[in-house]
Amino acid sequence: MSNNKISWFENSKRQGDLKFDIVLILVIAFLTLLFFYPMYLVIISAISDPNAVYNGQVTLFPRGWNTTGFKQVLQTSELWTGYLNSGIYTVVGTAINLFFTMTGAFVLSRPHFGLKKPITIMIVITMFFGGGMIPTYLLVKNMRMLNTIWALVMPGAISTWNLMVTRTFLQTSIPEEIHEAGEIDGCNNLQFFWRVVLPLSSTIMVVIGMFYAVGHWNSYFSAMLYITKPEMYPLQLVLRNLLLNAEYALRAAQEGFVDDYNMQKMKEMYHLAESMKYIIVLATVLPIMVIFPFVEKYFVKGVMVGSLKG
Amino acid sequence: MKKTTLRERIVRDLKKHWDLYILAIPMIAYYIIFCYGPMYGVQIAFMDYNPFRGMAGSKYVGLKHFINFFSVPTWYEYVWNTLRISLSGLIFSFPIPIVLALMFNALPVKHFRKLVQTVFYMPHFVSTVVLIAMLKLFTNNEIGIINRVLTAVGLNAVNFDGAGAFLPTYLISGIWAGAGWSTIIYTGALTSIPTDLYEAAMIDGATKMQRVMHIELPSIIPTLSITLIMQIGGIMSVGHEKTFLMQLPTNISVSEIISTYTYKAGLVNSQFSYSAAIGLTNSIVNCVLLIFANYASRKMSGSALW
Repeated sequence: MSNNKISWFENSKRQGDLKFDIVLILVIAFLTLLFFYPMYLVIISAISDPNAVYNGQVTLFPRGWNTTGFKQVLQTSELWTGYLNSGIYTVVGTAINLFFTMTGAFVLSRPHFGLKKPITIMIVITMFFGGGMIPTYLLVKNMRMLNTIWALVMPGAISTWNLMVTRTFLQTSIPEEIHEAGEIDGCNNLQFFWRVVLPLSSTIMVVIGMFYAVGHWNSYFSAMLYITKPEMYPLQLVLRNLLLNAEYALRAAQEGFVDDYNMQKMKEMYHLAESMKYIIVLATVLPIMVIFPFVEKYFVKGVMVGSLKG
Repeated sequence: MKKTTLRERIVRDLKKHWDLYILAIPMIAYYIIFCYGPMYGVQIAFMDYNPFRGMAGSKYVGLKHFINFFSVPTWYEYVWNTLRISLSGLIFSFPIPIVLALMFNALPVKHFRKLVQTVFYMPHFVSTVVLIAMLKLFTNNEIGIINRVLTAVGLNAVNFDGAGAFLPTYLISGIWAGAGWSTIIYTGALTSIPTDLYEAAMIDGATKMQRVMHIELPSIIPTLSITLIMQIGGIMSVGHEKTFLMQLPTNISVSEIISTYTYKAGLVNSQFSYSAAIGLTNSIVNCVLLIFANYASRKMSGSALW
């Protein structure tokens, strides 16, 4: 609890907590550095010379430059297809998510909606019991959605948690008086939704939109289930395949499946493969590190609103 | 309150608010098709489902697949592997966000606290694929940073490919990725503690440690119970995404869990009915556990999910 007028140090001293606080700060500082180290290591390994990385020389500081690695990665066309696909899936997917979630949450937030109770019960049941992986797969297959974008965006069109959070938000943020005023002016529900509720919901739409978007961007398993055409693979699936290939090559080298004649050349290739893995990981981690601090408060607020449900 | 039947209320409402029902259609359609649809499809667990003939053309075989699953001793391994992961998670990983949240809350410097929290929240957004990639980079037996550091200080290198290393790496990577983010729920509860409680405690001469133990800890018990219930309820459904990526021939004896086996049986080997049967058993057990955990929580601490 910090005081505006005096420093935290003085405040702690006055409350007799100074020893506790100092120890706490040191412990937390150590833990924070520890937690940050993995990402830091990825960054310095990705920009360093591949041979240095392979030889274990890159621990606290980068060494050398990794021009070959970056060139190789930039030339990997599957990576670009992956980015493009994921971009499309995320944009389309999030738009669908918002459409289904906002309409549903709005309807559930209206107090006089006749079907509110039955629908809520229907939804709660799905939180406990589901069809499972195979029946869902068969459903998607029978609806002819395999190898289409629909298999990736429809089965998850609504996240019940997001739906409930939005409903709570609408219930608490849009006073009934506005609705009554609208009714007097002859506004029906559709117009009310479109002209009043949506503009007022920009905050919650941003929050759940971001949750949905991150979910789409990071997903790989649905694509693994439903998509078999490589040109449709999203980024995470492409990454996984690239990493698997590099992994096999590395293990083959380590287990000695290469003869001495080609050893030197091979060694460099394996160093490069390992280094490329770091670059690929960096491509995902760096945007997070850069963008996240700015959008953090939205996500945190979203979780808090969601966890305080009535 | 007027005593009208549900039907009368709906009819009256329908006329007045027909457009509300139109707006409800997407949501209702979604749940019916994609949540209840698969539930309907679960009955293939009781058939010899033939995908070319569909459900109508498949023979009903009763409990054959369930019996198949339980008659071979391997089912015990899958269940045990699953339980081992989720129970260790409960014991080791569950308390960590709580301790962290209390520590963050007790930090006296606001800007430092915000910085710390940002660092701890970030790993949550790393995708599973990338998380495991990082894990493999760091835990490579020869050139990964962990073994390099260990051998440099004179300790023995760890065999990360082996069965023994699976559980610790699974848990630790999970803690790195999720512990920070999980503190948010507890932080929310902590910030809503009324300040006069603190003032009263300080007047009574309570040290900070005492304040944490006697004010803050009790105030997060409701949140704690609910999170605990949900985790217990999910004991049988350890995430297949991460486990699948971590599987190796050398650790498969401990890394083959119910959901990965279901996936392989169903979609790799096309044993649809068999896989559906396993999935159904799993769902039912989950359901029972959730109900039981909720009941137990209400009895013991007064707070529950419903």
